[in-house]
Amino acid sequence: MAQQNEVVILVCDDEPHIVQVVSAKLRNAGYKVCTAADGDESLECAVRVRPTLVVTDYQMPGLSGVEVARRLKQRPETAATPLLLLTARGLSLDRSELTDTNIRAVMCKPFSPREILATVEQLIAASGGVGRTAATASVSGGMGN
Amino acid sequence: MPAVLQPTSNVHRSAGLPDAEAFATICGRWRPLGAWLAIWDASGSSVALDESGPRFWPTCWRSDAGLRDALAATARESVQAFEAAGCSVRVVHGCTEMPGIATIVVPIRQRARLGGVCLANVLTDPARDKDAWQRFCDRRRLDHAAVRRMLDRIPIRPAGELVALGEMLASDVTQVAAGAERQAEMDDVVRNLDNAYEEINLQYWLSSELSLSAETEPLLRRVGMELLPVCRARGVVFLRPERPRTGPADFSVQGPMLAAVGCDSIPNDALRRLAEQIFDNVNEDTKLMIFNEAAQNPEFAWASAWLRHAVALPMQYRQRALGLMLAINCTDEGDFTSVEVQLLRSVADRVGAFLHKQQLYDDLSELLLGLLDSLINSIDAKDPYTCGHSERVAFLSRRLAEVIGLGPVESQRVYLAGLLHDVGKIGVPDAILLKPGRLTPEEFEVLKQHPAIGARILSRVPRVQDLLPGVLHHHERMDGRGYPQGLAGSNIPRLARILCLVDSLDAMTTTRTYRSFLPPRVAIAEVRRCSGTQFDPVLAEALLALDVPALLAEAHEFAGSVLPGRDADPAAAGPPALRPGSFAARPIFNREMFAAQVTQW
Repeated sequence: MAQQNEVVILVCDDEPHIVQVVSAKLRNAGYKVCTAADGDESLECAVRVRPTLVVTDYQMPGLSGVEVARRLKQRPETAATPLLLLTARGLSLDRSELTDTNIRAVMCKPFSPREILATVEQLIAASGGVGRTAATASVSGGMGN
Repeated sequence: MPAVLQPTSNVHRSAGLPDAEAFATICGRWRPLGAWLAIWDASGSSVALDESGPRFWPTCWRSDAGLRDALAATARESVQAFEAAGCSVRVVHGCTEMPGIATIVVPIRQRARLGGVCLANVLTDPARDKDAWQRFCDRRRLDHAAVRRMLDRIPIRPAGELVALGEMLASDVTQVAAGAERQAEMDDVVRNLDNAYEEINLQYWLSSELSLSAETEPLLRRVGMELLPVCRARGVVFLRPERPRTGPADFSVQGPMLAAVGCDSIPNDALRRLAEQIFDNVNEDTKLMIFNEAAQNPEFAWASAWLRHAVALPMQYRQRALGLMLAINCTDEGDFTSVEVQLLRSVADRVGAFLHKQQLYDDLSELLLGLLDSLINSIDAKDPYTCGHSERVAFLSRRLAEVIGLGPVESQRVYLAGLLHDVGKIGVPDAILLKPGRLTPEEFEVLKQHPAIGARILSRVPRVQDLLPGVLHHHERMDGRGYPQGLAGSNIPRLARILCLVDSLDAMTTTRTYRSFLPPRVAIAEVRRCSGTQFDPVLAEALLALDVPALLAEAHEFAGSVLPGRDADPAAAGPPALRPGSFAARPIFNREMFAAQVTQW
């Protein structure tokens, strides 16, 4: 479990290259990073590690990124964990999928790692750690809704 | 005495040797077997040793120069042996004078290259010989009892298994080193991937944002802003030379600075001079030029105060350079590398193609504008009495359109219709058009053809089709007694009703071949009298709500003409002299006007 004041980010994607690029960017920026390759592993890891933020792909085998977000919100220990969702360009999401969960930002692939880092920094600053109540979801990138 | 090395403090990953963490892992695995490990690189320098091993070894290493020399000599010998023959394990007995010590030496290979050797000191059976150790300690003036206590904690290996142990060690070390190498490669791949993602993202952005627009400079400034954080440059500059039809491009004459981002401290003249200097060396095959040591380059001595690195990329289309993109000075101490250059190249290509399209587009729009200009100038050339009439009608119609609530784009279309409404007069014989006094009914029938002729003239001009109803019907009347079709009321297109009203207003207030001008107040009364019969009453009301005399004065000023009767100048009131060849064509359409319509076209 993450120690007090330590920012741990869980990066989850079934595509290893995405995981590698995102986690390298975050590690180089000084964050502690743990990784998962699918939704189930992500859920298990999130409950065990209690990350400050989860960066997750939307489409994965098994649990989708949105489903992970829903389940994290149901569990008391991760009920406030914010998420950054990565999706394929042009994929549309239901508003409700964002408002019912702690998905605070959506970014489209192919993304700029620099922008991912900037968004992560914003979200972490905005969340001020664990325990904040839900903010409205912000959507960036060309989402088709 | 050589400096005592911190364990693994200077293990070089690049040398294909295990890094500090990996070496600690290996040492941990071999300690229980009684092996004490140390690493030498291929040049024979000691780079790491197991400081956490049984105390005996670090203690001896520090205190016993003989041990250090002996191990170093064995390491160097082994490097030579491994380089000469492809053998994988050496077991050396008695390289130190310590009784019963064997040294297993294995190569650390990365691919075919020997990165170094790993030495494992172990105790074999003869190390149990207390007398031999007593003699050794006496010779070295060591406390035998203390040495014995340390030795007793180290397991003894049978001599027969040393080769097998060596083979295991070789495999272990090689795998760990290979793992480290793979990790380094992986890091490199990830770094490149990271860059590729930035590039793809930038390309996506470019493909959605680089659209034709009249405003190249702000667009390129935004390209620069997007590019700057990913290309390791402090500044990015886009320059366009004076448009070369042939011959070398010239940045100095009028070459506009298209955009510069991150170069605030560098004067524009200096950037232009740099571009000019670099561009002299650009030919059609030049893809890019990198000046990584610009400060040392005498060619750039004049710029040495601010120039450290530059990458210059001609922005080309079909091998014709349309401009130059410069990336200036790295953000860190390093140089520009192929990674940034590739990114810059792809952006320069993209911008080059864009500039080419922009140029074609500019050419086409200038052609269209020029043709429209010549059409309108043709009417003025024919009939000096109506000189400026088209522009005044255009001006007044646009004002009326705005007043009745049409949006800026639509009002601009009304303006264009005003300019073009009388082009059909080109097809009316001069004898009729310029006849002083009243026309006969037959002559009037010919004059009445001009709206239809105008619509026909314009029928094949692209992008003005929406204006044709205005041109065709600008002489229709609300009561249906107009021409050419006798349309009435709301059957007359609104554009035509607008043109009809302001056309009449301008005609009444200027002098024609067949009569003198009417003062504005008379014209106002006439508009009011004919509202509902000739003119759309709603439009007439809107017009009369304005300050008509002031509006007319404004229209004349706009068209470069003089409102008759405004001052006492009789020349202004009377018809201008018609002299062959006296006509001077004036540009009527301008770029801004055209640009305002682009979105609609």
